[in-house]
Amino acid sequence: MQTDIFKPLFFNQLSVLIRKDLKLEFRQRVLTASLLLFVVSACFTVYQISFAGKARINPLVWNAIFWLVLLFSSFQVASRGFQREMDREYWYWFFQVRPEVLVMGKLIYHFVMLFLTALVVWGFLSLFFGSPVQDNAMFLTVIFLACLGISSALTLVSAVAARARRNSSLLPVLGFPLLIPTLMLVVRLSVTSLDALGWDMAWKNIATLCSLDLIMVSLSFILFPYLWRT
Amino acid sequence: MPKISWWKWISILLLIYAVVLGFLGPIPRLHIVNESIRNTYFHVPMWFGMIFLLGASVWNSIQYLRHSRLEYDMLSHAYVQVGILFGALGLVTGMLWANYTWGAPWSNDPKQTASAIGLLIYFGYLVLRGSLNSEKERAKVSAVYSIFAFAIFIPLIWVLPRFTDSLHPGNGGNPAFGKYDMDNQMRMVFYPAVIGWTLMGFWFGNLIVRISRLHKKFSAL
Repeated sequence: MQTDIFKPLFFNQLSVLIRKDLKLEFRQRVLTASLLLFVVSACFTVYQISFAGKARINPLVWNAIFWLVLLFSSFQVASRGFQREMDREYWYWFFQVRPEVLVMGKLIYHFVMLFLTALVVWGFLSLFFGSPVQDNAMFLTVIFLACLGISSALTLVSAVAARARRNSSLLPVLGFPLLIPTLMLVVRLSVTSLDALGWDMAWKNIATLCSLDLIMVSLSFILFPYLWRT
Repeated sequence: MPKISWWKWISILLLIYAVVLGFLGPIPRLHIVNESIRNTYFHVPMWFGMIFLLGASVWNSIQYLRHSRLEYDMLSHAYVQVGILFGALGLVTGMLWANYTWGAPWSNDPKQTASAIGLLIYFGYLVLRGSLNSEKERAKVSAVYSIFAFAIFIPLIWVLPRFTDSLHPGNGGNPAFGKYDMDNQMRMVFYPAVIGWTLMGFWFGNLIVRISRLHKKFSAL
């Protein structure tokens, strides 16, 4: 396999692909709108089933709610994943772009969408329950790294699931267990930022999270081409 | 008498040795743990066996992606099945032991959590295989998934427990059979047990592969 990933063509194709996905996202507003609706109604449901905020929501519970809502939204983001590419436009993409470009494009697109979703979830939970986050910069960093990890894992898993028949039910079954390690780290880290315990307390977990992200990103990069070729 | 290859004889002999000495051999008297320390010979080898089996499975998955020969896929699938069996047995023996020494079968110890997640991941693998129809497609897609899963599973079981305190023997000053408590007499039983159970696991895998080869042969007729 020749590697021309450092040649400008790779980045040109990549940026075109990402722009295409994002453009489609905003042009077909129904997709963005459905994601937004999912997030908002999830937050609102949580608010209602906790007796309109009368139940005591301590920072730990807030943290759990935040990551749960984000986790379920991430399946929403990834479930569209490769549907478009695998069905109609398959042959077009197959001959036009290298699989590495395609997977990186998807990964970055998923990441952007998920990161924006996380900000929306944060906003709405703050609206309903108030925000217990004391160290905003660190919480944002944690969200960034978490979204990177979640989106890279779900990009590959959605490609795997798109190959199988029962796509929509398979994605959570395969995705949940793979995301637990990332989430365990992330939850521990975000509690550090809720209590503003400082970067000294967090660097070890941040380093672990970064390396887990690195593993997942590079493995989706390496493994995706095998899924793509038939 | 059927011919049995040498490594299977080694497995049989080592396991007889380990089981007999495991129940009858001398052990150090430790507070709380007492006789239950004998679980070391049965519980811990399950984990070692599982790691070796899953490692072998991933190795075969990689080989499949490189050479696309269905033989590798068959091996990979078989080792995952035995790996899951060993993992489940490890979990059950651990919970039985924990019930008497920690007071509860499940205390959300990092190693318990990690092993439960690992089992979930590999059950996902089996579900994935079940929902793919074409043989080649199934082999390829599940190879990709199993490599990805293994790369997440290994950091999980080795790294994560180190970040928090564990009830597990050998961690956080618990009375136990960590490397400081296991005396040389125990090691003489423990290592043969690990080798014996691991070989037994590969024997199981071997049998599964032979059965699926026969299935293939008969369905081709």
